[in-house]
Amino acid sequence: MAAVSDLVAELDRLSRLAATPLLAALAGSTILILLVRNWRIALPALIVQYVVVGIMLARVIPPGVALIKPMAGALVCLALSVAAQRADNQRASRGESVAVERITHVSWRSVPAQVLLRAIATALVLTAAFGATIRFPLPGNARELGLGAYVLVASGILLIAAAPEVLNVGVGLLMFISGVELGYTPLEPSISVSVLLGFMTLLVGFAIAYLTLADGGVLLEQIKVELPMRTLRSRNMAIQSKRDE
Amino acid sequence: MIPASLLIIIVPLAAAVPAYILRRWRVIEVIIAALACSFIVGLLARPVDSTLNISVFTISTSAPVNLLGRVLAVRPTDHLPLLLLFAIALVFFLLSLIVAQGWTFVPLGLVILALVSIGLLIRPFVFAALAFEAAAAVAAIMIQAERSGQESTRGAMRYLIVTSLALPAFLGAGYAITLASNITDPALQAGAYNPPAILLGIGLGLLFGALPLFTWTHSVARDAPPLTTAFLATVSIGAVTFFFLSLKQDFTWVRDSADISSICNLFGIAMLLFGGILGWAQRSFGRVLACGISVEIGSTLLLLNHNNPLSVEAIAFSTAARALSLGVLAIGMALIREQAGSDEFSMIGGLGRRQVWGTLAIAVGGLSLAGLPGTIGFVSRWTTARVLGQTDLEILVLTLLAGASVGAGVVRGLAALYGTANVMSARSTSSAIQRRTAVAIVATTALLIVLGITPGITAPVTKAIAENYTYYR
Repeated sequence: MAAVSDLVAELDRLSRLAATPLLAALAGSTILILLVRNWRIALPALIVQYVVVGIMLARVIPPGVALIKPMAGALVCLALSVAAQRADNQRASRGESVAVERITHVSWRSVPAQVLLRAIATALVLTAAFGATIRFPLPGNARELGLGAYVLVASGILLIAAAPEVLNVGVGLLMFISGVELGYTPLEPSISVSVLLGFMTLLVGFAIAYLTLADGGVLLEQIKVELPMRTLRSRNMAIQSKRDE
Repeated sequence: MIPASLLIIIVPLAAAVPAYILRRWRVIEVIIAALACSFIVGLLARPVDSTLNISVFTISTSAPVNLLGRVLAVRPTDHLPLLLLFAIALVFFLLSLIVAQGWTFVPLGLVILALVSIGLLIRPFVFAALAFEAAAAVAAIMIQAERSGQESTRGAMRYLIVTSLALPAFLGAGYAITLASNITDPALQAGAYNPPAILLGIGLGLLFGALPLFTWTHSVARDAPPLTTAFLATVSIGAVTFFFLSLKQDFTWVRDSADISSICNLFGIAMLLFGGILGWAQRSFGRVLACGISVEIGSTLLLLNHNNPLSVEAIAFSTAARALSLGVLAIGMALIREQAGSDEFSMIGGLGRRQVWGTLAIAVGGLSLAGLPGTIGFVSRWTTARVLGQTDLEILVLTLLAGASVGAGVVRGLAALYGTANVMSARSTSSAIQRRTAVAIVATTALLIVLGITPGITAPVTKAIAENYTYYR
């Protein structure tokens, strides 16, 4: 209990900081997630983002309630990292490239072009978010939360639209939900909504963790069921192609 | 005194735990789910404002329960829709005995049932939107089931994303309503209700999945076990439909809003066109099923635009008809997938002669979904036509053509099933299992036909659902 009350006190202290460093941390973590789509970098950045979102929420709701967000976020990131690691182990056993290899052996042929493209898209999205904050400010007195909300919602949608892997799309979805929470909480600072949105983060996070496992081919039960079907399907396709010939 | 609203949430959630633990014994798992659903159906079959004594417990059907400071209560308008949804779920759980739908189907189906019930019972509606979002997160796991591999997660992710996109619309609408209700000048207030109406319309459209090029229907129908797709298209979509009706009942500005009407029309016509144009040309039963669902969503949205008792009756009847048609079609598809490893028309040649019962289920379920006379689907189309024909003949023709297009897709698939043999059977089933499958399919297809010939059997329920809503009077 003492640890939780210490955390609440710390969150309360941090929430009194100026808005600029908080927004810079939020933008920094968002840019990192958008540019480097490697879970070993993206998930720590997502935890930082959850902490910043929690601090920003503590400016408009009681810090004890705002603490739910970083706590839920940390749990979700833990679940996602376990799922991603298991998926990577499965990929490694199949001889496919895994996250840690992509960090230690950077492919200098393809990475610069990919990062440049993502950087341009990120710059456009962040500019649009900044413009939207000025042109269409969200109601409520906390303008910095409005900017944070626009940044997270826009970046989340970009990631959902552009990333092919389940984990990255899921991270985009979680960013989108965080952005919605940042935008909505100043309008209705109710404890029940904050609690339910925190619960929502957990539920969506666990669903994404399950899908990450599935994407990596970890759901072992499936292999027993699906493998004969695949063999059968390929056999049937072979019969069909022979018939066509 | 125990409030029924609490039991409606707790019983399915509690049943989900043993159903999950005993998931390897499908019969026991289904019995648990069926008992839970039957209990709730029995509870809701009692009159509104009644009490039921079981041993030392007294259950009140209308008593409210407090959850996080919000009141959950079974209101007269929600009473029969909830009964209908639990009855549909009961049928689906029983149907899952015929072909396995993955470990997720029964336990997570019960959780989804509890969450969508919260969505119908809780007010204000912002919390209902959160409940539907939670149900979507659970549904994503249900859609994925036990499948693995790249590209296998597309359906689950699409469903989760589309539903999540609806969340800010509902939260924004909730805030805008608070602002509008604080305005005292009636003229200004009427204008102030425009933004929440637009947001609400968009949010509901997204919950229905009515985004033609980004809808979940095709990807879910391709990836999910067929009965899971049918479950989501009836239980989840049905809950959203009755949620929409309860909003119309609660707020004058919702039923009078031209913006909501335009959004429903736009999404409804778009989904009808989408399903109708693509339905006949599909190359797998999964995609035909998806087109059928698109057409159903489109016609439901168009029906929701009408404020009369016949439209509510048509909505209630079409929800039940859709459940039966999709359920039977899904069972047929599952049997075909089990045998051929696919439901692509090019992969199922000659299977019609070997998988007679699966073919029968596809023929009757699919053609009922298309609205073939003599089936329950035709009665649904007929009641829909009676409502739509009152105001817009073009939309009526569009609805009928879209149904016919889905029917053409089903017929093409049936032709493929009886085409040149190119399938090796996956496994032979024992004669006892075949007999059980045959009995179940014959019983459900007979039900589709009997209800199609004598639709009056369901009339008391659909009429009672319509009578409980008073907004059109």
